[in-house]
Amino acid sequence: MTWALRGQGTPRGGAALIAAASGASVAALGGLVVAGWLTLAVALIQVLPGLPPMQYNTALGFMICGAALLTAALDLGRPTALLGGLAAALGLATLCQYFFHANLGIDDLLGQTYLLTGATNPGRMAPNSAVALTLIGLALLGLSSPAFSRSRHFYPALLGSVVIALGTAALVGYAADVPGAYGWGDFQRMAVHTALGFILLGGGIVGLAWNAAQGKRPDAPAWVPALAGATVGTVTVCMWYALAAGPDLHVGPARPDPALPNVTLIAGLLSALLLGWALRVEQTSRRRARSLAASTLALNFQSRARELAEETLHQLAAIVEHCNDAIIATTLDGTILTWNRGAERLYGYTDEEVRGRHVSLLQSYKREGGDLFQKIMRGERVEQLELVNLTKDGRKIDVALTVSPMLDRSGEVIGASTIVRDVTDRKHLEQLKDEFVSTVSHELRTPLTAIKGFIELVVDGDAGPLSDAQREFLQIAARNTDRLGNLINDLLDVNRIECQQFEIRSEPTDLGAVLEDVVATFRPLAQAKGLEFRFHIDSLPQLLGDGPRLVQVFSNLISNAIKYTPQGEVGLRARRAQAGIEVVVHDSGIGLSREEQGQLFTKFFRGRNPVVTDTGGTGLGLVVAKAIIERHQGRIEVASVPGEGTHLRVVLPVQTAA
Amino acid sequence: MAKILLAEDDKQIADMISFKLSNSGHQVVRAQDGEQAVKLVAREKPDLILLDAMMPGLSGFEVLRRLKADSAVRSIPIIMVTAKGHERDVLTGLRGGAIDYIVKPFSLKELSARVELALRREPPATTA
Repeated sequence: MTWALRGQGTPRGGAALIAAASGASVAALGGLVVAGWLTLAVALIQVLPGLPPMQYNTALGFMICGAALLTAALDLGRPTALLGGLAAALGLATLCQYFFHANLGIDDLLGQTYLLTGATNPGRMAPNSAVALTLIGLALLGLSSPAFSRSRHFYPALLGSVVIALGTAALVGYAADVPGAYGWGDFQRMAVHTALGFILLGGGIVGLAWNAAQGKRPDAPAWVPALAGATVGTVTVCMWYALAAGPDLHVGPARPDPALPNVTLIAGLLSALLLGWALRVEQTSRRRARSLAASTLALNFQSRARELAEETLHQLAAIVEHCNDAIIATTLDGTILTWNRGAERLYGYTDEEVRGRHVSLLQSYKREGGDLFQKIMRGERVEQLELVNLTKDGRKIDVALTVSPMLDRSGEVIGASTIVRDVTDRKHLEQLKDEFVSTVSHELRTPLTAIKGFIELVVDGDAGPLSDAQREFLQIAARNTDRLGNLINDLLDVNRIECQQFEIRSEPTDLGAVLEDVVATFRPLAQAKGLEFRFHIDSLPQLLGDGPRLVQVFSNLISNAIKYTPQGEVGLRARRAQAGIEVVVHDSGIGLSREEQGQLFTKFFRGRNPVVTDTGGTGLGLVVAKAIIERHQGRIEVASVPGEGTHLRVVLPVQTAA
Repeated sequence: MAKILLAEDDKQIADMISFKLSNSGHQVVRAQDGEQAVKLVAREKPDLILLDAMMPGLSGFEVLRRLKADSAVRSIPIIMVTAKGHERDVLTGLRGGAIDYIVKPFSLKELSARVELALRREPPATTA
């Protein structure tokens, strides 16, 4: 059972309700008795004629403590402390009067008593009531204190239970006609409804403390056995006192046996101990039972988890088994451990046939696996390794491998798992595409050769004289056949780049000479267009590269610069830089927007500017140029402001020739 | 004035090259395929051979191989003329014994210049 908590964890709900109810009834009782005193309603004061009356101050104490219990139940710390302190003070002051034989004048604060019982100090609260009141006040103080943490719940509860015991002893005294149990010495005695009230107050306090100590746990507080023992013990001591020390007060007809008090004491204390012990044992065994239940539950969970793991494993195995790709597990030296149905389908061997065989069984030629397995042993993956494998019936297949290390629980590499994908079809397609492209380019070149050649024959006058207009028009036709030729070359290059078949030579190349060649070719073109051509080429170290391809790159950059610059200047500057050789081709042309700069190196990019669309070009030149530069381990960057011009910066590393 | 054998399966291109070379004062003998080229070379003993790489039947590269294997005609300079512009092909041609390599589409002036250059060359010393 759990209690709803509010504020700092003070209990609400059942216990709080009971505490509130007992607080309210005790306060009402006190009020009723005060009213009885004031209205001379003797029945309210002493219940039955001849019984001890509840004194003014006891009634007052009940009102205070009842209210305090109510506020404690409502989780109002400050009023509880205030009222508890008041009750404790009232009780203590009364006790002091008894102890020091003094009269502080507090006994008739509310009014003079008029029910004289022959006791000393008429109108004064009974000493046992005063003790109980003090204890209740202190317990309330404890309950309201901010220092009242879970570990201190015990003390208010203990005080409450002692008060319950005092009340119970008094009631027992009334029932068994043992006045010593409700009256100490020849002082005032505890009234019967006073005893009842204290039992209620003590009960309320124990309930609150219990609830607060319990919190959300299902267990009763650990101190419950001690509490039970203390209660029974207190009752026992009270009864012993009543029997042993109160004979002169005994008004009953017969004197009890002199041994009775001692027997009562011993039996009572023993039973208190036994009760405490029994409760303790019960508590412990219940806790054990619960922890047993918990561990049974944990065991159930474990076996369920194992089932789940097995199920997952089974599912994974099914996925691997039925995967279309071949999956092979090998040891680090290449011995096949197992493979899936995909591998059976691909290679034609069953799992049983290949287990324990070496992977070289599948290889069409002996290859050095050392590098691969070293990578695997370092825990690295090898992806898209393309090679040719052999099937059981001797067919060659193109495969792409992804090899990953297999780790054991401690992270040690114990083997390799290889996913094999059959790329024979893809390879075949690539080859077809290759052939197609080269055939088409051949078929295009042949008529282009004829067109170009015959135009040239006519322009050159080999076929007789022709007019200026005829010559000019044919020259335009000739330029466009050149453009078509370039387009074919660029398309072939792009195709090779995309098929990753784009290779360049790597030989000592004098970039300075390359650039000077390019400048010499294009300077007349720029000047013919009215552009200023500036160039500066530092003396440059040799680099490893492909001279003709580099000519292609810089021809492309400069012809672009000239093309897209209607007026102003173009230029080329080359110098030794930290990262290698830096070549900047610049112009004062139409420039490129940010968006255009992003697309500059993509296929068929052409500026949208109308000036541009007039100009010849394939839209592939820069794609090829970039690929050439990248094959040189270099890079190309663009910086441009629309309307102001463009800078293209190429950096090529200088690799020392071997 | 030199005798030039032109092996080219495309009639228009053959016409074009013939026209240019004839205008330059050379005699052009034409072959339409590889087999014919090999036969004509043996019979005509030209001063220079222009050889297209892609021809029906014997390819230009195969013709090159056969001519260079024949001691009677081995010394005749051969220029490959082809649409196959890949470096791999150029190298196959040059390593096979061609003295030059012209990629289609070409400029007729350039072809003409290369032909003249080839004709001016000293014939290579015949191997012993």
